[in-house]
Amino acid sequence: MANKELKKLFQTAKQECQPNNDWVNDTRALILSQVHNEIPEQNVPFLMKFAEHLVPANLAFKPVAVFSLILGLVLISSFGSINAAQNTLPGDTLYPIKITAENVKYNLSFTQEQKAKTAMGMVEKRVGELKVIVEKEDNEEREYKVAQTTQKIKNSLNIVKDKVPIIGGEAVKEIDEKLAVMKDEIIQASGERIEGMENKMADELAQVVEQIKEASDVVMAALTEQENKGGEVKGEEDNKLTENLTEEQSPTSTPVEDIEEPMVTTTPEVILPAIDVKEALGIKDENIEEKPEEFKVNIGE
Amino acid sequence: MNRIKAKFLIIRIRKGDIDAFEEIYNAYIKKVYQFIFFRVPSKEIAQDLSHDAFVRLLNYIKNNDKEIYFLRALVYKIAKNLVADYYRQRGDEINIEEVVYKLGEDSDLEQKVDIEMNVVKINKHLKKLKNPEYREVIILKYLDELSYKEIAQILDKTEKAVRTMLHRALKELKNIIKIE
Repeated sequence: MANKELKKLFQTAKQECQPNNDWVNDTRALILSQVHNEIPEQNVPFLMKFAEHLVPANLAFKPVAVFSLILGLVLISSFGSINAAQNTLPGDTLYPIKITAENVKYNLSFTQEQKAKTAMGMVEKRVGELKVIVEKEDNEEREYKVAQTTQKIKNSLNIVKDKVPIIGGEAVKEIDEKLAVMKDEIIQASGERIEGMENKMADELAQVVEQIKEASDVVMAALTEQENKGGEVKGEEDNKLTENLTEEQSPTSTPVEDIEEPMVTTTPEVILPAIDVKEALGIKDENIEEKPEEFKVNIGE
Repeated sequence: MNRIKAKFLIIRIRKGDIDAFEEIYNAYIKKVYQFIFFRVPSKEIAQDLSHDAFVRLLNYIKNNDKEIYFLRALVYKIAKNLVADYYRQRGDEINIEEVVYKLGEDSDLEQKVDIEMNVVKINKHLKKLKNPEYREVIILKYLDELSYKEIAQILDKTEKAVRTMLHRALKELKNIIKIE
């Protein structure tokens, strides 16, 4: 039996097991009503939906998608919206445009190195916003804005931590330097205590500092690994094959929940003396009963 | 659905845009239903599991911040795990690869009437393949019409291994059909 005949047999069988249209519609309505209850509906920026619709439905070639997205960005830029949105803060009208533009830029980054750099750029911007919010906002909305911004910083830092072990070269060193600067800026912003700063807000800032330290550890491990490999610095071209493998073979023989696990280094750990972040920031917590966590650093073999 | 569009939809879902999830549902419901239908004894079970697949997909997208590179492969993998869970709950000691020939064996006459001749014919042939992975890869390629890359994702194999397996599976299947 030729391949074509076999294919035809399967095609016919497939047509025989189509789901009933009424069932499809009923199930859609049921799931969406469940979704409505679980996800609080938020205002998704119009530009996000617009950018998505620029991508043709049955796209065959990536360059066409890139062209569409670039065209979309040019159109958006030509109205000056993005420029106007650059200095906005959480809660401002144009702030969603700023975030949307950053997300589009991230999605237009095709290599892991570009993604890591873009994510790091997002961290820098959020930290800048955080400094302004802590120093200049009034007490009522400040707590909410700090929480929003710190969450975004954590998300972007997670991306950086995922990408750094994959990329190499100067990009990793750049990220290391920027993380050090970010950490100092947040500690400084926290140190300039504004009267009435709630402990919760102080906790958020302390958590961000911890996250930055964790990201620095990952960067340090990556740099150490590079040095141990004879000082060879991986360039962009050398990384392409690794990037392709990572992207195309990312799921492993593990359950669905682990499909998108970041690469984890299994290098030995060194336990350094415990550092109390809150103490370093000059934050007093009346309820401290537990010991601070030990500060672990991964080193190369 | 191409990868860039899928990425945008996932971002929108994580921001709370319900319309985006509806688009994913519309794009994949029939495929998921067919995938499950060939692996469970009845249409009603296929319907229930298809519903559960999308609920599980939504939870996965919402509760993970990580990038999803291949949405379609993820959807199929969720469906596959649901079918395995279904048989595990029934207490059947059966490998997921074995379940492909369960269709048509239900004792309910009404179910048998639902099943058309070609489906039964295919399952009869597939049942005779010695390697259960051969059955799975043929179904994923010819019934579910997935790419080699996606099949590799679902079966946790390399693309090259999938191509080799499919070539051997087809050769064996053709011999089986020739003999009959």
